[in-house]
Amino acid sequence: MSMEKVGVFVCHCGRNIAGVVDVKRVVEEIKKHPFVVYAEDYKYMCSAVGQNLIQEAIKKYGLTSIVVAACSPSMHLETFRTVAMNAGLNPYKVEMANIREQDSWVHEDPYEATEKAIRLVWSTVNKVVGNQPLEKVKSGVVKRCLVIGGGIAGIQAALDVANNGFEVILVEKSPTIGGRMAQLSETFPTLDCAQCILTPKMAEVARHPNIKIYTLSEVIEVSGSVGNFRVKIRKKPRYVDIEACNMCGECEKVCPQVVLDKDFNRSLTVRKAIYIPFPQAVPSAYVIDAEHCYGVGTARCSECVKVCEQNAINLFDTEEIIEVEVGAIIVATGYDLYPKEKIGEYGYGRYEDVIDSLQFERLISSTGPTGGELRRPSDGKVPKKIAFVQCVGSRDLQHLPYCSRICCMYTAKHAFLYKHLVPDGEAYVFYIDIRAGGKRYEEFIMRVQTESHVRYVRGRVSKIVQKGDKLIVHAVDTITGKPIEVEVDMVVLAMGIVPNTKEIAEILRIPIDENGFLQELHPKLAPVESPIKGVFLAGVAQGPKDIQDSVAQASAAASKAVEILSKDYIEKEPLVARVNKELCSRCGVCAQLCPYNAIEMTPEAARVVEVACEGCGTCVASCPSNALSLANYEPKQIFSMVDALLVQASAPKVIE
Amino acid sequence: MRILYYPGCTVKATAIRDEKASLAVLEALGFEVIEVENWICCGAVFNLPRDTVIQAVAPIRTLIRAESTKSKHSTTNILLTLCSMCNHVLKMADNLYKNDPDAAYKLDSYLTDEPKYRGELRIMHFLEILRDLVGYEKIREKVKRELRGLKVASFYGCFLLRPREVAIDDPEDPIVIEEIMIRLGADPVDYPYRNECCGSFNVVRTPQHVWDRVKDIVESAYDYGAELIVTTCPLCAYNLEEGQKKRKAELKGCELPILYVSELLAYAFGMDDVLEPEVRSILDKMVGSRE
Repeated sequence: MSMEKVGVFVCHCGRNIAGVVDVKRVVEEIKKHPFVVYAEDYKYMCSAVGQNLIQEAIKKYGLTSIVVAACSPSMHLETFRTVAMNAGLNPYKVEMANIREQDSWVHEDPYEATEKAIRLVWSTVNKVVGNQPLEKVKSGVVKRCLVIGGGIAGIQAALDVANNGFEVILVEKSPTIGGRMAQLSETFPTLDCAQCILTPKMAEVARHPNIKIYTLSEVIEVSGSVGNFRVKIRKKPRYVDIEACNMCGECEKVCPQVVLDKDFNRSLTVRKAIYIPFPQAVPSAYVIDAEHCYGVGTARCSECVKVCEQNAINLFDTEEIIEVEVGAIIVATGYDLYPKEKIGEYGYGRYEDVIDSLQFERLISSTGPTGGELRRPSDGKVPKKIAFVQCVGSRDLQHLPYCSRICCMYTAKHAFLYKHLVPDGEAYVFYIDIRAGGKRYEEFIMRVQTESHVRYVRGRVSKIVQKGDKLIVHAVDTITGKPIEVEVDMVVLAMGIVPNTKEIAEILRIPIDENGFLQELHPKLAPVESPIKGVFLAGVAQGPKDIQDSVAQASAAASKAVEILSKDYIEKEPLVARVNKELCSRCGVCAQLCPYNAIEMTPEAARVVEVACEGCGTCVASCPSNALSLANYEPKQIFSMVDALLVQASAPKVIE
Repeated sequence: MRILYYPGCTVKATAIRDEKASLAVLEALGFEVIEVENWICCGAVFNLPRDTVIQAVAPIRTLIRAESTKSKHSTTNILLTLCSMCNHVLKMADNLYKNDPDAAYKLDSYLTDEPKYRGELRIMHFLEILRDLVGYEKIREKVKRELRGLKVASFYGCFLLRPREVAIDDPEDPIVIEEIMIRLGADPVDYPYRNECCGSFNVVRTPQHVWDRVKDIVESAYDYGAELIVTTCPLCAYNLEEGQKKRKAELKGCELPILYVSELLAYAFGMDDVLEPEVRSILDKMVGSRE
């Protein structure tokens, strides 16, 4: 260390720093540091001239380390590391002292600010002399991607990755891909039929040579890290051979067990225990609902087996655990509607004709239980008056504090489609305000309000009560300021949406936000990256969004995944934790706390998977044996920094 | 179990029927009820503006006196209330004192003539005591005369259920009265207006609002098959009674008797002597006709 020759470069950042901090004095004072052989200031160190100046000084004075006193390292550390490398210096012998965000921008007194700058720079010099020259960490990449969730976001992401020439494993927990979008009738604002635009994509996934679909499957374990994840998938038995089933439907005809179709048709109709969720399901094969089938595991009934000419049915099918290695993961687990039972005042569960938005989609869908004719569940009558209630659960501090984003638009679509199905019907929409912030969205709302004569009432609904075969909607019209009562035949609740993330967030250790959505790395600048390297987010799992945005985000996530998969090796910062094997007692505390799954327990000691480690230091702080340390943040360096920050002021303050 | 009891003004006046039946029922269930000494009116409404605490003075004074009564008669810390409004006001005042140090300081300053409030009481409505301390099954054991098939519409009103912090049950889907009625052998009616406001104090200044609401409530209960309405709130009971008289023409004969929950309990327990003769004859007619 005695050989260290440190150069210090103090930036003015125009007036940003120099307006408060006396940069000349910082230069003079830091020259007193025993390791500093050269110091100077310049107006903009990040400019080409400034960079050149640093390079020249490194060469001229044979500097072994440099400190740039300027802005936050998140702004320009890479710039100055490159400068150092070009001058033949190891980039990890470069540090920045932040005298802008942490000093000149937050202090007014020039004297105090200058004193603080001197300490910050001195402390950074103390650190840099202890830095080891390091090399980036490298590791290989498994050229395969895991996509979790087979809704529109997962489908799009899988196709994009596969079309880039990489293998994709698509895992879906239900018997078919397609997700929520497959349940929808039409899509806003263009009114394309949802299945017409979705099923071609589903078919493309089905026949794509690079995509392997696992339905009725869930990811149960993920270990390893970016480039080399090891994944365990639990595949539940389908009892029907996908390859052999020719969809003749004979099995369904003979099946004696009639079951409420809770999933696809949301309890509006029944199906058999052997069924296909919808005709265009992918994979295109029947499935047995083990919960309701008499014969599973016992062959007591076996009617379906008897009629199946393909011999496709195996009532003794068993669960499988599949292990795969992947280089990147895309999470697109989608959403559920907020449980209506939690909103007692709207009478869901009491009144058959109070339904949720997805039930309405099924009722008006041509593949739905009524074949696209709108008939209310209680008595099959066509509702002549209908009320749509927006923000049910959403934007309500007792339920979901956030806006679910899609309800204004789909409610407008519902009202529009209602008026087409029942031209002489009357439709009311109760809303707080209309959020139509998308391309051609506002125009669509205007079209519904004017052309279709849907009555928009600004106000919340307080209660829905049943009177005879009518429902009475109690609400307030906040424009007239009067409470109103509207008698209708049917009510559609625009339920808020909640993410399906609880299990997957735990398995992948992705943090979730206060509302259960997966947390992105940065809300603006890294919206598809999760804090776990190599894990990307798409669709509603990350936040409420419509089909357009889900598809866009899925493509973005796919391109991020491809960025990793297309590399021959992964390169990352070497500022990682290290284990002193002699001190490690293998207690495993570090491995449990590591937010990045970067610590593995070996028979000898904890081992840091360098390529996954982010250098956060959690393990270092948690280790009861002090067996862990962080490269270039050794205790000696930290203490020398603290010492520099706590010394007496270099000169007494002049009182004017 | 020895518990404290705060009657409040209405229970001692227009709703004395409720007190007689409630206290008899509690005695039968093994409670010894000690009335708070020198209690005063609760104020009957808890004002919501944050900048005044004056209306919490009376209820806190009563609570202080309840604490003194507790020490004197060595009762448990349970304070029974019968009236929904008293229950609401005492709980709201107690919450205010415990959660807002500034309000507590002001209240202490108003109440220098009393011992300091210790906040050690557990204020419980009659229904909460039946549910949480007695238990539905024990009620069932005491039944001597089943109210078999009696179609009862429970009317909770608002003060038992709102705001959420002092609610005795789920404000949107309460169940406690129905649970009790089932144990008495009755057949509760699930109608949508059971947790609505009856109109409350508007009966003083704009009674027509109250009569309109009462009409909707009674009509709905009737449509759903109710033979009578039960409540625990004296003001609800008054409004429902009066409203039916005022809207007799529109109701077209679908008026329903308004009784207290306690009266049905007393009747089922076979304690005819604590019931008013009219109440007994109503129930005799309804229950007897089925026997």
